[in-house]
Amino acid sequence: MVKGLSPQEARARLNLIGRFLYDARAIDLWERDTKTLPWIFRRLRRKYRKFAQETIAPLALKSDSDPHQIDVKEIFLKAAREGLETELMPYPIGTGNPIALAKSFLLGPILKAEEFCAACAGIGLALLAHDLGIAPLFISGDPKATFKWMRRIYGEILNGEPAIAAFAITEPEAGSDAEETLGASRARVGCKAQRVKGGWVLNGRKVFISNGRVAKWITLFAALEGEGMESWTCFLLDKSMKGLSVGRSERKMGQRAADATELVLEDVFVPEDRVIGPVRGGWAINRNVLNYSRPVVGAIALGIARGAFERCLEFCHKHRLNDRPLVSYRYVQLELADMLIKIQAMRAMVWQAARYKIPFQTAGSAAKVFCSDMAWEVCNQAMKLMEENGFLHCHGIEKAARDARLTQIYEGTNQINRLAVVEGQLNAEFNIPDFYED
Amino acid sequence: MNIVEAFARTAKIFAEKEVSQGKAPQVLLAKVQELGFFDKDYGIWSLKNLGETALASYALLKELAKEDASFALMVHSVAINNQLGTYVALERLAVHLNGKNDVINLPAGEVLTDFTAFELVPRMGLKRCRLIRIEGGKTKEKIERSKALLFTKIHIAGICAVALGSAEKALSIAKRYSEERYQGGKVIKEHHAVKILIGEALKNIRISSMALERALENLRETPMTDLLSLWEHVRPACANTVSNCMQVLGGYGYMEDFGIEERLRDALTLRGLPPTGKRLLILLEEEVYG
Ligand SMILES: Cc1cc2nc3c(=O)[nH]c(=O)nc-3n(C[C@H](O)[C@H](O)[C@H](O)COP(=O)(O)OP(=O)(O)OC[C@H]3O[C@@H](n4cnc5c(N)ncnc54)[C@H](O)[C@@H]3O)c2cc1C
Repeated sequence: MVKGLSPQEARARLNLIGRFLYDARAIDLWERDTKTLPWIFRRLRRKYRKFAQETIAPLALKSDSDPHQIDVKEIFLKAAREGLETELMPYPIGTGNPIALAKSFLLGPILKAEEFCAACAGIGLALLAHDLGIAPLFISGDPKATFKWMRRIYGEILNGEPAIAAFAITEPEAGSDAEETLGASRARVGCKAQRVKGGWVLNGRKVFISNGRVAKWITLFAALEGEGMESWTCFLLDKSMKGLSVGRSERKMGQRAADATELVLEDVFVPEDRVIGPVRGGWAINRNVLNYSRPVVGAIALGIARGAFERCLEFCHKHRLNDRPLVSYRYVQLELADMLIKIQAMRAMVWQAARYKIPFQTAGSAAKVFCSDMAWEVCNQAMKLMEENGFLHCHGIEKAARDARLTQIYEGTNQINRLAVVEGQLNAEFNIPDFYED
Repeated sequence: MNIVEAFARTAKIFAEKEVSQGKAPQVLLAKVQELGFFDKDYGIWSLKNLGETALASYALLKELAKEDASFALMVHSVAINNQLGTYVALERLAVHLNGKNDVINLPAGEVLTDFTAFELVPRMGLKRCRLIRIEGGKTKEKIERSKALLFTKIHIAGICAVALGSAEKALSIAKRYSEERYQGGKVIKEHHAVKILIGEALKNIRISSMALERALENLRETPMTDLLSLWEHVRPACANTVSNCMQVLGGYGYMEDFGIEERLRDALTLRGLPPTGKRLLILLEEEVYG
C-alpha cells in the first residue's frame, strides 16, 4: 500500500468543503447507482434484487440444464404475489405505482430486467415476456383494453391463476419483416383475419413466441384478408379459444427456462371486443411496443453481463494460479476493470433511454444493440479469463454467454435495430430522406 | 493428386458419409485406422514425412471437423498418441485421454504418471469427446525439449484446424441459408447488413487459414511465437465467424436444428482451452523476449 497517496488518505488532508467535494468512498457500484435513483425506484431496485437472489438465482443452473423440471407458472405466481407481474397495470387495476409510471414508463421494467437476468436470463425472460404480452393493452391507449381486459387479467392473477401473457408478431415468413418498415411493406403475411358477424376469424401461424406454451393470454397481430402489414390489427386471444393450438417448442441455445413456441390458428373466432386499439392500428401498436421493449432487452443484456461479471469476480477470488489468487494478477484485474467499464456504459445507456418521458425508436434500438453486443463481449471476456473453467456449466459463465447471444437476435436482430436507428435518426439529424434501400 | 488433396478428399467422403451419421466414436476411429490415417509413417502428423503430412493432416482434420468437431479432435489426439506412444496434454488439459495411461504435459515435456484425471463435464461444447484435466501426479521423465516443442506446435495447429473446419462449415450453412431466406422483399444475401456478416466471416477464415497453412509448410522451423499467435488469433476468429453465421440465420440460428448453435458452442469451447486470453498474450510477450 502506498502510504499517504491513496485517494482516501489524500482526501483526509482537505478541509470540510474539500472533503465534501471529493467522493473517495469505497462503496460498491450497485449501492452507489441505486442512490442516484428517485426514492420509489430505489425501493423497487432493492425489491427486484431480493426477489432475484432469493427466488430466481437458486433455480438458474437447473432451469438451464433441465428446463422441463422448472415450473415457470409457479415462479410467475410467486412474482405475482409480490406484485411484480402486474406493474404495467397502474393501480388500482394493477400494482403499477402511478407516480413511478408518471416519472418514467421504462425505469421500473429496466431495473427489474437487470436484476432478474443477473440471476437467470431464462427465468427472467419468462417473467418479462409476460409484461411484453400486456404492453399492447397499455400502449394502445384503448380504454376497453385497460378497463376491461387488464382488469380481468389482474383479477385472475389476484385469484392465484397463472394468467401469463405473450406477445406474438413473428411468423415463419416474416421475422425481420415484422420489425422493420420496408420489410413490412413487402412482407408475405401469413396470419390473416377475416371479418365475420360479431368479430373476426383468424388463420395462420406464429413462431418463436416466448411463453407461447405457458401463456393464457396472447396479444397477436394479424393482417386483414387480402391486405398487407399496414392493415395489421392487434387481437387479444386466450388459449381456451377453439382452433388456437400450441405447436412445437424450440430447443434453443440459451434462456432455456422460457419456451419459444409455435402458435397455430385454425379458424379461430375472435369476438369484436378482443380487438385492441383500432382495426388497422396494429402496426403502430407493434412499433411502439418495440420502442418500449427494446431498452428492456438492453437491460436484460446488462443483467446477463453483470451476473457473468459477478460470478467471474468470485471465481477469480477463489481460484488460485501458481499458489496465488487469480485476482491478484494484474492482467486479471485489467480484464475485470474492462468488463466493469462496459457494464457501466451499458447501464448508462439503458438508464438514459428511461429518462425520455416517452420512449422512442432511436433510444430503444441504440440501447438494445449496444448492450447486447457488450453483453456478448463481457461474457466472452469472462470465459477467456476463466480458461477451461469458463466453459464448465457449474460456474454459470458459459450459460451467461449463451443467454447473452440471444439478445442480439430477438426484438429485431441487431442489424434490423441499426436500420431502426437509421430510420429514426439519420433523417431527423441530417435530412437524408432516402434511407430505405440497400 | 498430391498427398494433401488425397487426405482431404478421402476425409471429406468419410466425413460426409460416416461422421455426419453420428455413429459411435469407437466405430469411426476404427474406420480411420482402416483408412490408414493412423499409420506411423504416412498417417496424420507423421514425423517421418512431416513436411508433407502436416498440411495433409490439417486438411483432413478440417474436413472431419466440418461434420463433427469433437470427433476431429479425438482423431487429432489419437494421431499424436500414435506418433509419440503417449497422449499429450497442453497445460494439463488433454483430449480423449485414457485416464489410466501416462501423459506428456506440454510444453514442459514432462511425462506425468499417477495423476488424477478430472473429466470436464458438464460443459458447453465438444460434448462427444472427453476433455480431461490432470491434477497432481509424478513426473516420471522428461522428453527432449525439441520434441516437446514440436508436439506443442502440432497440438496447437491441429486444434486450430478443427476450429477452422467447423467455422468453414458454419459459413457454408449461412451462405446457403442467405440464398434461400426472403426478408425485406429479397433474398437476405442481398442486404448490406448480411453481406457484411458474411464478408467478415470469410475474412476471418481466409486470414486464419492462410496463416495456419504458412506455419504448417515447415512446422519444425516455424517459431513458437507464430504458433502461439495463431492459437490466440484463429480460435477467437473462428468463434466470431460462427457467431456471424448464427446472426445470418436470425432466430433459426439460435435453435438446435440448423447445427449452427452447436458449432458456436464448440468454437467457444475450443477457444477456452488454455492458455487463452490475456495470459496467453503475456506468455507470447515473454516468448518474444526469451
Ligand atoms: C428465443 C426467441 C424468442 C423470441 N420471442 C419472440 C416473441 O415472444 N414474440 C415474437 O413475436 N417474436 C419472438 N421472437 C422472434 C424474433 O424477434 C425474431 O427471431 C427476430 O426478429 C429475427 O427474425 P428471424 O428469426 O425470422 O430472422 P430473419 O428475419 O430471417 O433474419 C435473418 C437475417 O437476415 C437479416 N435481415 C432480414 N431482413 C433484413 C433487412 N431488411 N435488411 C437487412 N438485414 C435483414 C437479419 O438481420 C438476419 O441477420 C423470438 C425469437 C427467438 C429466437
